Amino acid sequence: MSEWLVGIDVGGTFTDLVAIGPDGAVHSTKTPSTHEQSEGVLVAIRRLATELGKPLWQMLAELPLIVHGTTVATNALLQYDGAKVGLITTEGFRDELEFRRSYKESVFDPRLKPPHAIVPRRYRIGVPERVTHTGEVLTPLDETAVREALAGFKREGIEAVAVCFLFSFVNPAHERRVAEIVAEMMPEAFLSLSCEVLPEIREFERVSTTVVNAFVGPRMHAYLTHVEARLRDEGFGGELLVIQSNGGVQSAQEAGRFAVSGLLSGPAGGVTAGTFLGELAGYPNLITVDMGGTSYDIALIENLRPAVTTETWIGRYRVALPMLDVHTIGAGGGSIAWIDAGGALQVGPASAGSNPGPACYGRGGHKPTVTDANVVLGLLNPDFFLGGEMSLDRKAAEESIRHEIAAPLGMSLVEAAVAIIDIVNNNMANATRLVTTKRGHDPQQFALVAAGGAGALHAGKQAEELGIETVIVPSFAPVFCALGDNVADLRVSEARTHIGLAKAVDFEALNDTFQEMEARARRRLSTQFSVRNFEIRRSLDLHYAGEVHEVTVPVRSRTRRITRLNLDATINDFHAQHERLFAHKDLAQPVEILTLRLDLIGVRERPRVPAADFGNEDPDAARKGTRPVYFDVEPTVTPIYDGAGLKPGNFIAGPAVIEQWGTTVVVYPGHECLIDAFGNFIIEVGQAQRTHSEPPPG
Amino acid sequence: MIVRSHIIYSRLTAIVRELSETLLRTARSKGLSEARHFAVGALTGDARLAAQLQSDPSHSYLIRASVAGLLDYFAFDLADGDIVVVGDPYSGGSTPQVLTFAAPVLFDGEMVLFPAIRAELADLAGSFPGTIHPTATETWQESMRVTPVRLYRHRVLQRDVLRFLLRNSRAESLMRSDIEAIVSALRAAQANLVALLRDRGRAAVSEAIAAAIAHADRLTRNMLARWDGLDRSVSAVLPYDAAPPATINLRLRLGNEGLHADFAGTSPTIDAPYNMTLDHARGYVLVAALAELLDEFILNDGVLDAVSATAPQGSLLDPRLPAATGAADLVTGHVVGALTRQALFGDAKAAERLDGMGPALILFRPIGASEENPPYRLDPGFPISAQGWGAPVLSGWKLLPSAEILEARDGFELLARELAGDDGMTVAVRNRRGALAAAALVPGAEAGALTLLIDGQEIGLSRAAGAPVSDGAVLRFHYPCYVGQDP
Repeated sequence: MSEWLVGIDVGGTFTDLVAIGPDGAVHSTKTPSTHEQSEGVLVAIRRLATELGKPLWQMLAELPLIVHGTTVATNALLQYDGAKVGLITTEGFRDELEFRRSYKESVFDPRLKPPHAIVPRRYRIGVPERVTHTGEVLTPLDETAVREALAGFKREGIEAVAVCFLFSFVNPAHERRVAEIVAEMMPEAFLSLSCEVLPEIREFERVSTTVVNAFVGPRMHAYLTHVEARLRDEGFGGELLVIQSNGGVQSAQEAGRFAVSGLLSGPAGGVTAGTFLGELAGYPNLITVDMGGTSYDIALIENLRPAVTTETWIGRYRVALPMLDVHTIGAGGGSIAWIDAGGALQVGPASAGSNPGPACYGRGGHKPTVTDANVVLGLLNPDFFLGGEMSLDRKAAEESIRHEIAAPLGMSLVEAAVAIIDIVNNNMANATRLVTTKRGHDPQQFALVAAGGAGALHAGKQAEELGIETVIVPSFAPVFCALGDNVADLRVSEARTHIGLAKAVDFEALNDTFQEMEARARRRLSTQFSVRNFEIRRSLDLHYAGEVHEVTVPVRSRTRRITRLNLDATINDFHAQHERLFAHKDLAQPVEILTLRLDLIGVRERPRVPAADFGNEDPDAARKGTRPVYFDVEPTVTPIYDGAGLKPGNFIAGPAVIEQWGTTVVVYPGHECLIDAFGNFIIEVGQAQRTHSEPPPG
Repeated sequence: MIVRSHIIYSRLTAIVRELSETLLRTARSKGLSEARHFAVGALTGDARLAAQLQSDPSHSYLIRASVAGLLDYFAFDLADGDIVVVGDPYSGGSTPQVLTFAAPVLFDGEMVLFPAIRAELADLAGSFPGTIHPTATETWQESMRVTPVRLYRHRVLQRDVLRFLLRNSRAESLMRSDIEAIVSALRAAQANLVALLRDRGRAAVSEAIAAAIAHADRLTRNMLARWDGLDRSVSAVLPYDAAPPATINLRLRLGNEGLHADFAGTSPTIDAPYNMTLDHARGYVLVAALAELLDEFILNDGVLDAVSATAPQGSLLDPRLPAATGAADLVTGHVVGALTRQALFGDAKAAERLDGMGPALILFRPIGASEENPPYRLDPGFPISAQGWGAPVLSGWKLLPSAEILEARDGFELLARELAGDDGMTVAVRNRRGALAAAALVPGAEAGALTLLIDGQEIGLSRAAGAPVSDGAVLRFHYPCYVGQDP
């Protein structure tokens, strides 16, 4: 690596920066996020420049590119702060968005309110047009109706126009003609065409994704234009890239056009970092978990490839683009412990957030949280929170748990705190188990990567519960997503619907479609940062005829053309994958192809992080002292280490607590921790600690 | 102990959720994969319901009742690897063509748990393919009765039993696939339950289930307490045009034993498929009474036992053989649910309604046209609930079919699907699948309308039994809107 790499991830609370220098040295900063996110970005770079003794302009001038993860699009969607959107659709189908394929988040609860309408009905206009599933024009586009709709939109101050016609993924001519008319009548409007955003069958999924793109697009576009301009004003001459939900990066321009692709950019950075870490540390199969203040994100990486899904809902909106499969539950340091009407202790999903936050924050919060329980049990040092930048009120934590949980349940303070931790650990373990079994895997086949401020506090217990033998706490756990920004490849995902039975496939049409997809993907990448190596991954969405869900199976072909032999091998893989996922295959059933997928990956040069030589095993130089820690209801005098003082090769037998800025690593009794050549904490949980395989008591 | 039980039970519920997810993803018939006419559960060795997931109210008590029936029938003759099946309105069931599959889990030589699936299969004999026979007067017109049989013995498929079931279906291929999916899902659940028992011990698992049931009981009674002292009688007439009118009387009381639905005075069994077995009706009472609570935790005996029901034997709500029951979910369940809400909330509170009947349609090739004649459930819309969005709670959760999939794969051209102002939803579909026949039911004008347009002629399909639907004909659905409508 001959040049600087810089990744900046803006989260809800902090803006993280990871910079990898030409010599491979890794630098990181963490600064509070700002309402206007570009401000935080510049503050982070300024801090890096200061650390390196350079003026900001010089630092920026040396950067060939900056990779950015931002929550602008996510915030716009979740806070309903997007653009005013008008939708033009096929006459007779303007309510598909509202019907949501009849999906409700609660099956029975009549109190559930409908989701906020990001396109109210009066801005959803159906126009006469119809294309058949084979692409023939059945009803020509009524351009007068389109112009009338746009005139209405102009009067109403519509900022973004979404267009979604039936079967536009087969024949997009009508959508493209509407685009021309929009350019003529509303040139300032943001345009979102379904044939570009998601050219796939199923109109609800397509219209929803297209509309979400229109809703968040103008905000994202404005933000990226603004942040790029600010960076350029300060001396940046390189390229600004933005991390996408599929784990790849795109140019700021493309990211602005397809803003919907960046909705999960933060968690995607973490998963990408997990892949890099796995490559570095020699663990190809990983479960990455990121536990912050309010949520717990789980993702699966198999053979260094993160799992991808097209079944995502963000907030209450369907986004059917391929995204890294990040499963989120409401479990974090701020998760509130409470007693339900049936007298059972529950933890989460409600969170105290950061304000007022847990009781121990001393900001007026009185509800007991997971962080309060960790303080009471001695797992968290109240004087070393965020490296001592913030001190926690242990008494307030005790009081809230005693009053809200221990007394009502007739438990001691410590018993109540242990119960809170046990339950949140169990919630997280169950969610992790679900993520792995849903993909046909046993969690025991994976190593657990624990990131986020609270991840390493709980990871050891998670591993025990799941039968996982190895936990990896990355040396950059607190800025893990920003690390991922640095190592993500450029990636364009293309999809085309291509319905037909596998046994009757038209290979010429199949190969032509794949070639057309590749050409389009190359056009989309050609405008972006230059890369030397391209990798093409093709896959098919397959199912047994009649099934509603599909399984995505990589195509078995080493050449550009797919032959019968390739397809047969791919179908065999489908049967095997179906059996692994659902314990069931049916060789006699016809297999149907629904969608062709192609990922064009512009492989970026990986940073070469230098491996340090292993030194002495003895970690005593980093030992800060001891304190009583409750791993159970009885205290154990536990050595405490300064994470920053530990060296590669140091070996720590549990119990131990390692404190470092931004995270605390707990090495539970019976576990062993080794600091690897890259400063990562490798914790071996070992067979003996698998509580799930112990014989039953009594 | 409390926390340990919580942890063990949450793992049990995760196994049940996985069972449901697996079946949803692997089933091939639209009744399962889109309409989600199935429920899954785990029961104890003595047929106590430990955990159950369902997408509609119809199954509430019926997995438990069916498994209890299977246990009675097979007594001590169940072994590891067995899978037993029952599907009969008069053996713990409800509507025809719904089979319950149960797979005993033996641990240390004793029967400890049962994963079970209750699922509506595509076709199982009867006069018409599929599950709708709007003019049936006896159960055999609707389906064959599957009294308890053993599909697997010691993990060995009983081919004669399977063949018997398949040979009595016009949708043999669909049936075979769905049964294989069900068996595979049950086998996976069985393995997971054995792992749970091995990891945590049988006693701890039993304690956890008991604790969860007790917890659900407390939550349920806590919710019911808001109707303390309730004793109200209500009555409704079924939307059924024969004389004399069929009436359902409900006296709903809340006492120490919980909520009791007394259907005394309800009309006798009728010559229409609207009869409903008592446990089936009880499920609608339960969901109507506890809907606000049911998504907060998983269903178990703690909830089920809080609601009881009685009805005169031989009445509409406790019919005698051979009364037909096939349309109970489409009609009678909604009436029972509406009455329950009315009794709970007093004088008509329109916004509290959870019921909402709508048109139902199944298409098939003309009878006798071919050996395989799989029914096609065409359900392209839904009534708008009294809450103003989505389908009514008592209709359950169905996946609305995609217009593009209908046209590209299934041969139906969806011409339009839109809200009709305050008048519900309208859907128009053109048949491009060749000559078909229809079994349809629209129970009264308030349930909407279903019409067929052929060559400019409009034909009502409110109680169609085998009505021809020619290629190119247009089916027009009107689904009602229940906003502001009093029951």
